[in-house]
Amino acid sequence: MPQAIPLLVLGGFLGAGKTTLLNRLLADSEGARIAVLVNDFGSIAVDSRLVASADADTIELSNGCICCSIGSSLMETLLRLLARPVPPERLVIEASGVADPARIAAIGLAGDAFRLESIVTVIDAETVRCRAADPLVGDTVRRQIAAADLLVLNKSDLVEAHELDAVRSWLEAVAAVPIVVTAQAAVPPALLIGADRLPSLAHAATADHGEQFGQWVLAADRPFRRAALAEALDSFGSRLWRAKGFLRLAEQPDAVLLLQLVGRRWSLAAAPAGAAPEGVVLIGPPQTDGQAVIETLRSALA
Amino acid sequence: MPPAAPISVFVARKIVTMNPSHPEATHVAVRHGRILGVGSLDELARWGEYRLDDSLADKVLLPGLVEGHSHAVEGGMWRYCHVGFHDRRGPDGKLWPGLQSIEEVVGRLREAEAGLGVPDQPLFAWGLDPIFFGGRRMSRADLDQVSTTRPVIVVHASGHLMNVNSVILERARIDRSSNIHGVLKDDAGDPTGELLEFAAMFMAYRVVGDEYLMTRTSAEGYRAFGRLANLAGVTTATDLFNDLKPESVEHLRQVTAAADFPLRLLPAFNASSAKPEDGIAKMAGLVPTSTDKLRFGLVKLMTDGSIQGFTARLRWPGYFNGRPNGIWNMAPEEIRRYVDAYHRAGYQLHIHTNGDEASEVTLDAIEAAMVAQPRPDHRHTLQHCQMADAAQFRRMASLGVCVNLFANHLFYWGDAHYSQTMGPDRAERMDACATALREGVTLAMHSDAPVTPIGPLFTAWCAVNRLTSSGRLLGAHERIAVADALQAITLGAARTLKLDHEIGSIEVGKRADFCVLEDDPTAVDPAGLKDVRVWGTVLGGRPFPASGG
Ligand SMILES: [Zn+2]
Ligand SMILES: [Zn+2]
Repeated sequence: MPQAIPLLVLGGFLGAGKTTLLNRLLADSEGARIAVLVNDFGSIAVDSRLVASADADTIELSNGCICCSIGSSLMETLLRLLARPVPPERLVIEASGVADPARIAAIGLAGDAFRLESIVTVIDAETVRCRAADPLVGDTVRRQIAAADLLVLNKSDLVEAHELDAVRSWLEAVAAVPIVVTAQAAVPPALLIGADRLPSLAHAATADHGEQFGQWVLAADRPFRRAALAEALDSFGSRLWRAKGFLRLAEQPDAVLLLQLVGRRWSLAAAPAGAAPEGVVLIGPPQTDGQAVIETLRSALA
Repeated sequence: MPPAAPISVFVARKIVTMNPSHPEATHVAVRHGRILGVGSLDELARWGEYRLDDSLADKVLLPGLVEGHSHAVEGGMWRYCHVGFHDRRGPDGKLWPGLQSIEEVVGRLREAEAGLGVPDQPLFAWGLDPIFFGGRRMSRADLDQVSTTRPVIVVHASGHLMNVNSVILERARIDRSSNIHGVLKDDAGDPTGELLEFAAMFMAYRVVGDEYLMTRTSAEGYRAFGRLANLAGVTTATDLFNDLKPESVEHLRQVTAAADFPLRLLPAFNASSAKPEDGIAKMAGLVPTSTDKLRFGLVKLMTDGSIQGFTARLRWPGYFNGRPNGIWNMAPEEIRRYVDAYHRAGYQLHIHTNGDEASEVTLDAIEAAMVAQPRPDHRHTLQHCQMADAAQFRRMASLGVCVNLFANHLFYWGDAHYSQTMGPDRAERMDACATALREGVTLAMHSDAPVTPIGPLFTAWCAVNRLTSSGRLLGAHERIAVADALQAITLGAARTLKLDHEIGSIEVGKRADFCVLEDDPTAVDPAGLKDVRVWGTVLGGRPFPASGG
């Protein structure tokens, strides 16, 4: 049985910076076979040079009739992707500027073709509050925020510091998910895609990433208690952006499991053969008290 | 100078011309596929030598009917088994009687199954509408009676859900332990085989492949659509949502170029499939390649969803049952940008707006485009526009906007609109044909085939009688006269396509396109309008009997 293809769904209203973020992901994809489905015909095009150099390909979806499914090309495109002799290693779907990304992400939760890694909604710091209050599109914008596992608060350079703070606290009040503040969609790609892209434990323990983000390690070869681990992971809220680890559970001590977390979404799956239960790498905003996060996790050990 | 082409004179029991200055006649003369004259034989004989064609002498002629909003994909769907509640005719003219119970659906599926060759070939069926089965839903057990070895998929009329048999559930690994949004389960916790929405349906398509999705836009599909139109008396129809990719343009050219293809087809370009500047460049390339049976130039925009799917964008007070407002298919600012660009470039826009908020945003966009770039007689047309009130119709009239109302909805979903989506008051003024006419808006009405079957006489019946499928009279004051309804399915629709100088009435200079009827729609009881028998059509002077002749 082929492995499920990891899926990232990028949501966000028109002009929030989804395509810029996509281009950054592609530029940094290190030769991975990424299939990118784009749904918007905005002012910025996906950079074809990046697509070419990254051994990735971009497929433009045309907007179907949502009332009768006529012309909906998403279903056909996904079936064709899976039928390829060499299927992509990773799938990124850029939702249209008015789409609810959760509706698209549902394919990563049904069946074993795709595995939803995260829904990331990009927010325009300059306009989001105005749009969220708009009688025509306010509900659309709020649904996009509510669907996210991780919010990218973009265009922070275009607003005053106090405004940015205000937008940030407003977002925190409407959605209990981690927020990455950035400009020009300059999000470290490791935050968005691929557990395989996270640094190894050994490297992570020594790296220094300065101001951009904090990175912490819990090295542990003891098993976790399942319920306690779940409770700990659910408690981090906006303090954690990503986590990856190889671990065991007291309930099934013979299996090594892969833990992956993006924002508020996490999953445990069988680890690749040969993986050792060495612990967990955590990434979060620089202001997070990493020691406290590690202690919370440690308390879930059996 | 070459000798003038010969003249054919058709004689009919009655010719209803839709030309108010000469409303009725018995003869029509045709030369070069165009109407040379309308009148008595005496009058027409003055043109010179003619050949009298009396094959339609006992028929009633109407202008060829015009379907302003249909989708040619319907043609391709008839490769598969139809299991709808209402009677429907396939492109071969075969009547598929409506199925009144799940048992009858299973019976038809078993027949279809017996006709399939390869043991593993999937059985597809479409058009299921369980709302008419008194609350009973179809289950996997029903479909396991059809086959326990071959995949069986039955897609519902709405297109948003399907039923599958156990073979599909097993191959898709859907069982009682699956916790998947859209996979319905029974009281015992087992999947019922009903799959809702995209993700769950995707699991089923993964088992059987994309064949069912792909074959709907083949050349054979377009040919079948031409036959369906012919059966309904239609000589001009739109394919109102087409990406116009090179291969489908090629199919369209090939199919419409055949002398025996009985339809003038107008594909409308799906504008949201490209940036405006790219779409406009594409249209500029296509329009000069139009022929008399294939016309490019229409541009389609989709703004919101559907009312019965609760995805239409509504103004206050919203959905009757309290559901949240629907979803935009394009952001309002994108609607403004696309309307402005295509308006400036001189194209005619056909804009899907179901809910009244979507209609309002669209009217605002058209008004802004007109202020920025005045343009006489643009005839942008609101499609569906089911919830417009009198004030919106007045705006359409003053902006020169046409409307194409979805009158078939009154019959198919009128009961649901009354009880769930709109509530009594707004349901009674849905698809307000009388208001549109009273306020002076150019009116067409449509089937949106394959959503409902193509058949303008049925659509006219809906507008004249406004009866729901349960028999409720929905909005007595919005009923229109038979003459007005016939006008809407001929000249009215032609005006919304900017073809009223060529088709839509039987008068000198226009194309010799006729709808040929056994009965006189102006003489039958209005309640029987839908039962008027269609003999076939004449297209450019050439008869196309529905029987295939
Ligand atoms: Zn529509
Ligand atoms: Zn339509």
